Amino acid sequence: MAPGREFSRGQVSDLQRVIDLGREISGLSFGIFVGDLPSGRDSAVARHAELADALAAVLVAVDPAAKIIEIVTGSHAVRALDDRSCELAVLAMKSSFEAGDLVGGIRDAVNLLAQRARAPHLAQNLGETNNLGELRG
Amino acid sequence: MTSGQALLIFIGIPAAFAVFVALLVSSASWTRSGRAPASSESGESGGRLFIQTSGALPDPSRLPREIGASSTSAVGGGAHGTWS
Repeated sequence: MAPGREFSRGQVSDLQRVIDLGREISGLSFGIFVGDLPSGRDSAVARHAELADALAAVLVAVDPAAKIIEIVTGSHAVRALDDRSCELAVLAMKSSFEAGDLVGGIRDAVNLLAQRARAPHLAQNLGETNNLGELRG
Repeated sequence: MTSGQALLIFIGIPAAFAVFVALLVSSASWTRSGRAPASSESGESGGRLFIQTSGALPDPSRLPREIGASSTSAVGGGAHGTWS
């Protein structure tokens, strides 16, 4: 993995499609930052603040040179996406990055985060369905 | 038809056409090399990138009810990791 190289158009459009799909699935906004994070978490938080709807946004930030992964969730987004889900996404990225697949790791992580953010809705809907069944019974 | 004209028609024109085709073929590789390094297609790149969801505002109907609650901090949580 050589820092400083450009992403191909295909890779950028692939990642753009993934975060747009993530929004469709979860209702949350996603951002991806790949570049220098000189202050680690603080730099990622600063990037997260630059997102259009930071409160309901999730940022996946990666510094390939320092080999740092940061996921930052907005104060509203965290209610749909807990820290355990973010840790799971970090683990998924780590395993892909160690295999040299930067784009694939980010793509899988965003997919995972979107799916995990959707899960409470499904559970809630299932709960409502069960409640209706009990009421009818 | 003189021998010079015959050479021009039967050798010169095909040769010029061959050179033209060769230029067309090689120009494609010039464009590709200028657009992105070959290794970037295999996911080995690490250039700077910052993208976000198109149409930034989330769909309120898809968000949990608690999102309507007020909050002063933009950051709610997340996770951190490194790899070797």
